[in-house]
Amino acid sequence: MPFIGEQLLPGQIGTFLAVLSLVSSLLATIAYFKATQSAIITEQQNWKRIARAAYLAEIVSVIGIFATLYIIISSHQFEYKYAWQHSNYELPMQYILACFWEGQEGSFLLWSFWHCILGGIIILREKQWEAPVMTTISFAQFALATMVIGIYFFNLKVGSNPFVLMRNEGMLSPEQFPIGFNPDGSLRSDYLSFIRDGNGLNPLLQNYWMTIHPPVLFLGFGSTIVPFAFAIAGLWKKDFSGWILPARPWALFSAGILGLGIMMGAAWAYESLTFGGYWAWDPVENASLVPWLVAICGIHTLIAYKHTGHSLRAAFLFFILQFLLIIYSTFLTRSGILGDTSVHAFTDLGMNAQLLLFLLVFVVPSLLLFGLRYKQIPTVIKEETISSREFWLFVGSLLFFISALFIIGKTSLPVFNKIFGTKYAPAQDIEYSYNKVLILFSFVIAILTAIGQYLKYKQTGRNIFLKSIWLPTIIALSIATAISIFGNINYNKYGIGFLIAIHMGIFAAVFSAIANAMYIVTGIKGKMIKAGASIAHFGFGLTLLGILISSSKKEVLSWNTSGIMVNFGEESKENSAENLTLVKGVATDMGKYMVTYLGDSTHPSDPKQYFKIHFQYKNSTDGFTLYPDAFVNYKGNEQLMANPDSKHYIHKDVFTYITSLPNPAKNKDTATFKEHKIKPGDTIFYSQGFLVLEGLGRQISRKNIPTKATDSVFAANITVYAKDSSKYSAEPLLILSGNAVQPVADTIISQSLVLAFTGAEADGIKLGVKESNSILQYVTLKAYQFPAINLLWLGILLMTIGFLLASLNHILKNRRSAMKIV
Amino acid sequence: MKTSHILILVVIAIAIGILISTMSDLSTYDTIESAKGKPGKFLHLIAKLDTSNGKEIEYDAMKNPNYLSFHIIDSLGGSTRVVYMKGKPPTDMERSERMVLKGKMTDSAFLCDDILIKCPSKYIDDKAKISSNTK
Repeated sequence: MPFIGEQLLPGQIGTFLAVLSLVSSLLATIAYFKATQSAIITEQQNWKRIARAAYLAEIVSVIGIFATLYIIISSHQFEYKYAWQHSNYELPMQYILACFWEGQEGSFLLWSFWHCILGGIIILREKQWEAPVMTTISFAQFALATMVIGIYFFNLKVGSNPFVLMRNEGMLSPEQFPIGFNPDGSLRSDYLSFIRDGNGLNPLLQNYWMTIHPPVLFLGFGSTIVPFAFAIAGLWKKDFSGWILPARPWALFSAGILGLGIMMGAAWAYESLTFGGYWAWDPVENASLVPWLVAICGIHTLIAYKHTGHSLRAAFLFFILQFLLIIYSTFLTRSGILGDTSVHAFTDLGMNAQLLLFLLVFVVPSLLLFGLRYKQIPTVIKEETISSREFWLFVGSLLFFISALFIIGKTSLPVFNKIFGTKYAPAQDIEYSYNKVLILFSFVIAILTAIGQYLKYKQTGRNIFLKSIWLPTIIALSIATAISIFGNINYNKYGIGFLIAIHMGIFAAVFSAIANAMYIVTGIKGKMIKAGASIAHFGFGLTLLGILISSSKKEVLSWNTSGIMVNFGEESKENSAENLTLVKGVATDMGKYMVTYLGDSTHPSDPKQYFKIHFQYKNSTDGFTLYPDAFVNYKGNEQLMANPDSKHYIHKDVFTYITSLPNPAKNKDTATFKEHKIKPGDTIFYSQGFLVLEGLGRQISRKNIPTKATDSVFAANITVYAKDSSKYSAEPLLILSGNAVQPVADTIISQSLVLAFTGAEADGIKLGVKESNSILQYVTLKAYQFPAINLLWLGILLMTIGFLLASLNHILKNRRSAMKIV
Repeated sequence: MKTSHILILVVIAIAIGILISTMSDLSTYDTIESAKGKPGKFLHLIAKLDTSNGKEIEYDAMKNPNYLSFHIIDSLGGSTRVVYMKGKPPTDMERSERMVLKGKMTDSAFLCDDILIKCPSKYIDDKAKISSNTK
């Protein structure tokens, strides 16, 4: 039976392309495999030709799937489940792409898309290594294609197809959607006209970061396969050193982009989520950080091998592991196994078996190949000398690797629980349990990045080394000492030991930054094309410094000094009163500032509500206004979803977000007026102070009171003296309009006080006094101050530039040497 | 002894050190009943919100924006009051099907450091709430 208004063609095209992608990637894998294995040149050429055609078909079909799904979402074709689940009409255009990769299917497609682009470049540029490298990449494409194929294979669901229809997925039921059904329980042929809007994008994700962060992160994810594929190709063809030079720029590019992608996520978390920070050691963050750490190990051992012949086995292992860890993190974050330990909302698509298979199908063959070839990988018998650069490169990589294992081991706790049936839970203070270990690692690593550049390969003369390192050391020592003394860093939450570690870390970070900055001038004489490594290390030093200072000097501004305190126990340093309630219009003391909630505003085209919070410096006339916003009652969700706003200074950020609003349903006005009979000069007490009837008159000073010329108006002039020694005046009115008596009450919001002039008698007036919370307009917020946060962002930026510059430098070098051979 | 051997020993020493410190940090998942048996110990509870018999979520930002109190019940029937001193109820607490609570059990209530809410996901929801209102 046809349904009116359904457009089935895009879905059919999409599904066809998904199948085409599966087939062509499989064909490309086989053909590239044959081309690699064949010993006869003409046969190789023939297989390669087939493989290229197949990979081209793969590129076309993935881009086709991408375009089709984009069209379905952007034209709001809600007969498709994906469009309905992830988009709606309200959504501004810039978030349509965000809808695309909000779902698992879309993010797999994004990953696949980058493989297509990278694969295309490899086919064009890496002639010699094309066949073996592309075998691995085509196979990965095949594995990814199964993720979006959505077919049943012996009752096992393989993949999740983004082109399925609402009505085929059991999304429509007579209970939930009665209007779309006929009385006999069948779906109406015009059911689609009743689906007027989609479910929309999760409001927390409605952010420009959601548009730009996933593509960068997935380019980082996707590009890790290239050095992996080169390493595998090297093992496979037993050409153990030939892959090093072509793989190097790829490895540098990949590490640079992956690092940028991860830290974009951190910037997003900092800027628009309400973690109150940029990094929380959440499993999702860890899962992408760990492959990056291992990739860095790979790069450093690769460099050591290139110059001295040492560490080749380690380089193989690291490049294999960095990609396997990417797949492992995919498994962790998408299988729902982290459910109880992560704040990220993971969803189980019912593909756990497939995800596990995806992991094993890469882990087993690659480690097996590595094991089989291990003995054949050439090594240098002679040990590295302790004064050589390669020795310390290796030690640094090893430390990086151990810290990576530490992080992934802790993150994998739910996996261990699953395998061994244990019930271990993460530590009480998760951040500290990571920080206390990693601060020591980062200290050593930062020192190594500082001196590493000044060491020579093979052997370093003691005098030469000392001659070049003393100046950076002294400069770094004096700067670090200055920061330690004048920076007022006394983070004592975890005792003196940790504080000492922080100060040591600050020195190491400064040392790393200074030594590498100076090396650009002294070591490579300012040749910027060669400065990639130094710039990246300089950035690393700044990043570390930014992390240390911003974390240890993070300050809660919204310290709540009122209210009931609950004792968390003697040893607990938990002081949790970070929420402060601001009553509209009343300036509240917050450290260096007086803070006032001025009001809020909305705009029809924006579902968010903006709150105007003014910060006024106590000791000057300066101030600033922040506009944190929130989705209030979005789609019937009772709670609010808040986004912070920050005031950015060069040296610090002031950061605030709304945590709670009055709930009108729960704050029903149950208070009643209490009537007092008073004369001018009399006093009435209320819970927060007292009020005095100053006098009665016919003149009214309040504006916007609707009166007619024939009315007689009486005004009671009242002064309210609150306990906190503030003073307010109020003017409740009594309007006589013909025979009708109408009191007009006056309200003092900050005192929750309503005053009503209810009647007049010969010896005085009747004054109604009501104290009610329901009239109050207030917001509850948290405010923090992050110093030196810009140092972190600057460091990340420099690190990325350094990586890309180094990558470019090696591309140019490879090209020059290729021309020499020709 | 070769430098590589020293290096291996150092690495093993570091690894053992980390392992011990990590193991000692670990906490456990408990039921409400077993948690009551070890007051003052930091642990994790998995439970759901209990609103039976008029039990309410108590939060009033005017009185104290840092005080939240509610009741939970776990799958074995154990129940307790929870006090959370970090602010408002987490988003969608009423709709949650499961919560992971971190904290310590005391005589009067479970003092909670952190609440993690697991909501029925819109992906798992097989029967959708279709918006059929005209925009």
